[in-house]
Amino acid sequence: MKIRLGNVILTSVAVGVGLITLLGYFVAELQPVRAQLLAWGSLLAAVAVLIGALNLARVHTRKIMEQAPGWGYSPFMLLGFLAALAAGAVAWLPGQSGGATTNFASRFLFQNILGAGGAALAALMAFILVFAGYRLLRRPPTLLNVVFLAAAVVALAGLLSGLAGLPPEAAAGLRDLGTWLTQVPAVAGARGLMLGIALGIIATGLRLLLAMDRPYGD
Amino acid sequence: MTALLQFAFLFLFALLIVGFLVLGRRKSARPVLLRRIEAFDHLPATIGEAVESGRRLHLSLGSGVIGQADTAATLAGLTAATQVAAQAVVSDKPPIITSADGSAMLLAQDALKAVYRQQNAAERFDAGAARVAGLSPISFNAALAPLVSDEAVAGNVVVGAVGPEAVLVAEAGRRAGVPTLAGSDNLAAQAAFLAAAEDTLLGEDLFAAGAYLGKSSAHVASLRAQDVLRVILIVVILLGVTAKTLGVLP
Repeated sequence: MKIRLGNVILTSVAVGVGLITLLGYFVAELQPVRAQLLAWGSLLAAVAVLIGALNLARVHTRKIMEQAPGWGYSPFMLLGFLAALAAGAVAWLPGQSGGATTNFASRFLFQNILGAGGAALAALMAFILVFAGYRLLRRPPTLLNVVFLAAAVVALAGLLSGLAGLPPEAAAGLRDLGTWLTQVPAVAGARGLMLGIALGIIATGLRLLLAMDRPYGD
Repeated sequence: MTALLQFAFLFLFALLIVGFLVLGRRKSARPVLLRRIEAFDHLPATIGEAVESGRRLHLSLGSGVIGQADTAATLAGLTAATQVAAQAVVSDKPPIITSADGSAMLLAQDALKAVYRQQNAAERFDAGAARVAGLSPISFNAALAPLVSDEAVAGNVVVGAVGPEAVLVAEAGRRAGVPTLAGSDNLAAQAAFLAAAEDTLLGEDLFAAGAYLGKSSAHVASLRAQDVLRVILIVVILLGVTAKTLGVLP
């Protein structure tokens, strides 16, 4: 197997920095080094945001130039991109208060375009989920589907028990059942899943530290 | 004491991974049987459909940001995307990888380039195939919905730090008759995908992609270590519950 010098250097830097950062949690003497490495990491993350924004602009510019399918949306994206940049630059004008993201122009864009668009999409998500739940009923029943739907129906019935015109005892029983279902088996199941996810996350980190996974270089 | 326990746990975890890796590479080692995950079973058919129909696969790493809490999920998504891309690059339209972070996009470009190089097709690599689709979770998923029809997508593989808003992609896929495999480390997203996507990775299944799709020995060793630690944790929890019930613990 051919070993590239570049990959050896990249792996050594990644493993070394990772180990120092991890050991910084346990060894007090390493904490200043860990803090410095994290500060450099934050700086690199900020550069990555810029690279991401430039890549986004490049993808849409290319789409317009090639008149690729759906290119009609791209000018709006680029206009929005430039408007957000201009809104951030307003903070540098003389007599303006607030930073790049808190001045009046940025706040206006956020409240009237980003916020409104986000709220509309969130509302759309609610509809999609309701229809998806309905489609689940039409799928061939599997154990997972049946448990999922039964739990959803009982939990919803518990929430709506006060509105259904049921006798008070039955409504209270339904409410208690819904509460028990969401607070006991659902929480137990969620904790089990979270435990598995946490183990998966730690395993991913350890594979990186042991240089078994190298998402950099090839 | 807590720090020492945490360190001991990490050390044991690392030791188990290395141990299982060494054991797995012995000549006399028996092949490891992995439990069936339906979502991964269906993936070869989706890849085959993409290759035969001359359409492309859309692989998404989700809206996670490298360097923050969702780094591991994003890297798990990158592993899945790389393994799927390795099988799909022969298609007329090569796969695209979308992310919401510059670092993740750069890693995806690097991984895709390596896949092309390994298949002796470096000249077909297009840096634009790994791209940022949006910088916030909502804008990212809103941008992915039209991409399904615009890019002639034959299948979506959305694995990584994905929130419930990714149902927008699953719904766009459903309307276009395109299957979606979705996996996330977010429980609310997993519940949403169970209803909206064709195939869902539940629990820690998304971290198993490397073992299932690439048969990587390091990933298989890591899965075995996870299983051992899971059993240890269950025993500790049961002992704690028993001790608390019997009044041994305060």
